[in-house]
Amino acid sequence: MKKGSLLLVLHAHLPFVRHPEHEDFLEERWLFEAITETYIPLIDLFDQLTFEGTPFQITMSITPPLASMLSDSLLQERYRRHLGKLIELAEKELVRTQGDSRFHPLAQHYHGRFLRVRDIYCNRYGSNLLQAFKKFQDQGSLEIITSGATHGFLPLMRPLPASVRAQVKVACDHYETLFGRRPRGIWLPECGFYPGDDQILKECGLQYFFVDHHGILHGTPRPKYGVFAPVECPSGVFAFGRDTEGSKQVWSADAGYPGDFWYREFYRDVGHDLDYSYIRPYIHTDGFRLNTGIKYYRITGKTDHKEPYEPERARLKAEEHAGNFLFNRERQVEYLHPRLGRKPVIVSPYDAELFGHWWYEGPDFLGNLIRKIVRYSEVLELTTAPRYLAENPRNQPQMPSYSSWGYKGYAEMWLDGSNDWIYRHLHKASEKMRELALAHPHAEGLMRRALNQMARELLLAESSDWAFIMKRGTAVEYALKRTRGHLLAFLQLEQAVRRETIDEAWLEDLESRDCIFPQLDYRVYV
Amino acid sequence: MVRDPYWAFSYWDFSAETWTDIQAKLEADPSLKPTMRIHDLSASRSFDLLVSLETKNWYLHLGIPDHRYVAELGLGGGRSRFHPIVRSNEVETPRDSPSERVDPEWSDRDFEELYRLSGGGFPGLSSPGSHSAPPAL
Repeated sequence: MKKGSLLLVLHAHLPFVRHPEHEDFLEERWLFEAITETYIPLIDLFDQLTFEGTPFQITMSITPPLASMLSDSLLQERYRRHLGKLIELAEKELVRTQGDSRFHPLAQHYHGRFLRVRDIYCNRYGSNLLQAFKKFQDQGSLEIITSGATHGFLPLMRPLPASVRAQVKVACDHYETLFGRRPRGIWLPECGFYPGDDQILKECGLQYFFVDHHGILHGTPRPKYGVFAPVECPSGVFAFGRDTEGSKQVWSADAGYPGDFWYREFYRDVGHDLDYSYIRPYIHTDGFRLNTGIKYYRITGKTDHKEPYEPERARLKAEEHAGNFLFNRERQVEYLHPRLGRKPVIVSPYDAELFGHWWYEGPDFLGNLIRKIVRYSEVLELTTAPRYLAENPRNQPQMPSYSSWGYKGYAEMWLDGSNDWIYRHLHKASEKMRELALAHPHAEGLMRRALNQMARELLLAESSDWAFIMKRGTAVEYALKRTRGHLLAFLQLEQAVRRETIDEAWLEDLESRDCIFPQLDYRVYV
Repeated sequence: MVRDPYWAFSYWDFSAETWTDIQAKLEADPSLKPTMRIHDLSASRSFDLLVSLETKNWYLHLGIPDHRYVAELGLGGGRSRFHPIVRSNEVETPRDSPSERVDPEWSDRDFEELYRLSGGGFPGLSSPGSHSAPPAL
């Protein structure tokens, strides 16, 4: 029997961005880049592990907005077009770098990679990557969990429990339509937990969630095993605490693996580096430069001087780092096992988009880590929450403390001078939504559609992404536009519902634009 | 809304009628000041913070983790005089340290060590700077 378990969680999330009204919409690229650089490399890895007979256990949250976008036919078509252009650019790069021993092999590297991405996307999975993730779940390797319906930060909805409930319930119902069963676990948006929210999770049939380390450490009463065992909330739902040691090694800007000088430099991209007339067809249609995904340099050092990227050296680094990560977790477990008198579980959650998008070699790291654990480790095994709980059903009763994994550990990232003005509007809208849902328990026809659309607009306005972007200070205009736009649509719908004067053509336009959760029932707010 | 173990955020708005009423009161008695009266329900005490009504929001330094609070916005003139206008919902600040409560069935001989091994003492320090950012443009 192994001495400890590693519970890897990849949290995959992007806000719902879909603009049929524009041919080329900048922010839709968030999805396209993540598909090319993260989701497909992960799927490719899971397929390889399956093919070679390496049994793996990974937990992945796929948030409802991301799942909606991955299965949306318009975005699928646009992604194929985007990838087609990228392959065309990669082909031109083969010609441009001909005879250049430093860059030609890199041009070949990207060209080969993008062709493989297209093969996986179009041929293997028919443009719907959810099919791929579902396949791994059905074969027992991947535990897919849900998140908030639009990734709303739940602790700041605390004054309006109906909004918290809607975020959780809509997410669980949506999951069921996509994956054919109820979700067992949830990744609370930004790991944001407020005591009592566990009761709402219970009502929705969820069995477990994750909190940051201080959620467990400062819970009531004191946790006997620190973060190395789950606790059982008063509702009967289990909470797993994040391990900080493993997180720091991967996340830390200075000491973390992704900053290694042999790894690919994120901020040097041919979209910015090459001659304007040459690159013009592959940047934004309005003519401004942006990242294409073809990046020829390695991090090299702390200055602006950059050397060409060497994929083979980087691959070896990723293997070395995986070995180092495993070594440290094994030592951690060897110390903890006798100390605790029980098998510790080390919870390591990461944003999925770190792997491949930010950290190009991340999927290689992950593949190496999984293979090393499964094939060679005598100490550590991979697990998921349901597996761990089946083996260790008796856990300490505790109510975790309010916490998040954001800046300073609470709500400051989503509540400061840059974004605090949104909450009075979000709360008011939530109040109105509940009031109207109570007033119209059996709405039909247009009225019902308008009420459902109000719920969609409210949910979309609640995405934590908008507050996050306002605070971070890049793409702020877009976050403002989305927040105001959804709130305005909500208020207009509210007026129309109250006056019972709903313009069908206008409603239809809103429904086709903000089309998330087609099966949503507004009575979730009752 | 609770921001962290020490701070909360409040917002408010009034009808035109209430604004007029407030103005009248302030003009009638210049010693009155817009005031947030914070009631610490866990310690049965209260204290006042001067606020500006026009900003329609205020960050409140509550000060003590693991306490329950409720706030009243009003016009105050010293401890004895207070005209409340509106009352907040009740909030509870989170702990910034381990609970004093120990379950005898689930206690450890050296909690300090486990706390340290679990990364305790530095909430948030380990939190990633770039996490949850949509991919950069």
